[in-house]
Amino acid sequence: MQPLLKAEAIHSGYGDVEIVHNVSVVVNKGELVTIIGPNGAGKSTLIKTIFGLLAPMAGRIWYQGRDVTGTEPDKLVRMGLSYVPQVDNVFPRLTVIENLEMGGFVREGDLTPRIDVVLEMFPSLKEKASVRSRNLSGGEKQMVALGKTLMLDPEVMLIDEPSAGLAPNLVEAVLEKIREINEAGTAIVIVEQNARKALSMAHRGYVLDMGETKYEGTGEDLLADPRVGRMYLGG
Amino acid sequence: MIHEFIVNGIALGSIFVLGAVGLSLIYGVRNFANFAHGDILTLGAYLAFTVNVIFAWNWVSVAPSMAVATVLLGIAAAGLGGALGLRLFFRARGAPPSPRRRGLPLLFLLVGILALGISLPILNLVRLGISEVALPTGLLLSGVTAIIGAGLAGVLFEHSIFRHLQYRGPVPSLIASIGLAFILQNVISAIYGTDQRFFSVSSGVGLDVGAGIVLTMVKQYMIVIGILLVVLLHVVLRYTKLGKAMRATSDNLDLARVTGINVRWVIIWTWVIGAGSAAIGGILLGLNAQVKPLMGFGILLFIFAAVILGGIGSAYGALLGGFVIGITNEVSKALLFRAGFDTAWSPAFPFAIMVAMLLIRPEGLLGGEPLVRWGALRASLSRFARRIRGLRAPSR
Repeated sequence: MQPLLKAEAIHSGYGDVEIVHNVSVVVNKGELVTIIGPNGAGKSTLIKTIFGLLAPMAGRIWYQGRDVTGTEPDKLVRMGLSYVPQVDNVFPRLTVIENLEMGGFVREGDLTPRIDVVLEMFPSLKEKASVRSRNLSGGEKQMVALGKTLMLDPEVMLIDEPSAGLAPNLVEAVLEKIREINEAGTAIVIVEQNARKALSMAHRGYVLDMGETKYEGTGEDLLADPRVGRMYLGG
Repeated sequence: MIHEFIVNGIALGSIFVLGAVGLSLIYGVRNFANFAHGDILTLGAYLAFTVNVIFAWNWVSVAPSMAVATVLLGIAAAGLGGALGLRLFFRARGAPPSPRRRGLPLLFLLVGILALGISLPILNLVRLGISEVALPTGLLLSGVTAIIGAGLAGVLFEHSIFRHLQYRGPVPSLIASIGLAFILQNVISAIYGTDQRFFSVSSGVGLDVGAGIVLTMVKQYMIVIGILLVVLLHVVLRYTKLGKAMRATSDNLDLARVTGINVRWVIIWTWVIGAGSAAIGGILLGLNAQVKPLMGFGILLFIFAAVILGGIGSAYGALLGGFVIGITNEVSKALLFRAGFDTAWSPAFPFAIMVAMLLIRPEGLLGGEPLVRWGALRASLSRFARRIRGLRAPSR
């Protein structure tokens, strides 16, 4: 079967500094893939390169069998690929509803039915519908960021460290929500610091270190691998 | 006497608002302070002046039937615009059923103010006869020319200059805008000369609004047009897809891009709206006094003060700031006069307010965190109301 998304031998970085060296990632339809690794491993750089925010120095990106290397992010959004940044991922002065509407910007016609569907997935946002998102808690902001992305019912969501800066009990809730979204059929690539939790919910995982793929395999295998455990899961 | 200065302040303030809104919107999506904004005001005034005078379309001398036709055309255009606005409103409003109704009172307000804007010339028509309606009808044509011209100029500046500087931080764009300001001033001086010019309009008859205040025709239209455009802008920003995308882009351009918002389209429209409203401000300023090459540059500092006071990047802040600066400037004249000082000192007051704002709350009145949390206020009010009711209930 042809993979939904494939990044092939990516070299990428900022300016002249190469951070990611020869990394390949494959995402199949409906899969939840996690990329873990220590700080500075190049996880965010890799995901930004896949989404067209950084131009790869070498390597190609394929989506649904088409070469999308160098395609602008707004075109990728129309093709069904979407990205949730790590920080500043909601419009602070827009209300929750307006954030969702902007998420559905490229959709034609009435957004109301889709907004209802998304709010159904995030019941806690319903009563905050007309609250400006800067007045929301960190967990609620993450929910808005996910909901905003879901407005287009994407094929693949690239999520950059959704648990960053959240209280432990909220981390659980956000990651659980991401698992639900995946179960509803959206393929997800998630970059996570919270490696143990991320691997336990993922179908497959990649361990990045120093910009290179150290290990890859199913979530279970990586969790069980003593080398991964020692180096990246804190024993 | 003080109310008269307040009314003058509102009239002057509406010019500042028209300038400040554009400056703030452009700052929001473009992230630089546009020093050429005052000269876009001037450009608008001269474009209107050209149509108004050079081509001698002075509607005072035009046959009454044509003036009537223009008024009717104006009403038809307003109706068409209203219908289009309604369509945009309902199409862009993809909210669930309950919050949808929240917009309706505002819509009625808009229709009411539009009706006021249309009925004022008609009222004058009935009251004063055809020739006195020359100001609104004649200026309609000049105004439309100026708005379109200045809007196109804004797009031209964006495409030829600012687009190429967008990834180099705010300073190169700012310096470029200062250069553009000088170019505009000198091109205008070269074409029209440096003499003061006057719009050719009938001075009309003042409207007695009570309390001893008689509003000149120009002031009537300054206030009405100012408020009309403010409401229109509010509706655009709050309810249309474009307006929401403008606010989103202003909040976070990178996020807007990855969300799939067509950022180029947003930036172009921001220039059109910003430069167009500046052009209207320029016409009003020219009507109120005279048209001259440095007119816009001269009030640029007031416009900056309004933007800073309201909170840079916030369109609503620009509205508030513009009126506060305008009213302060005029009222301080009254106070200075009464205290026996030269009224030429009056600009010191609005700028003192600006400096105080920078010291106390640098993000401006409506920038950054909200000053008043309405939800919390409402909750405490209803708690208070319950307690009052509890006190009044008969105790056993």
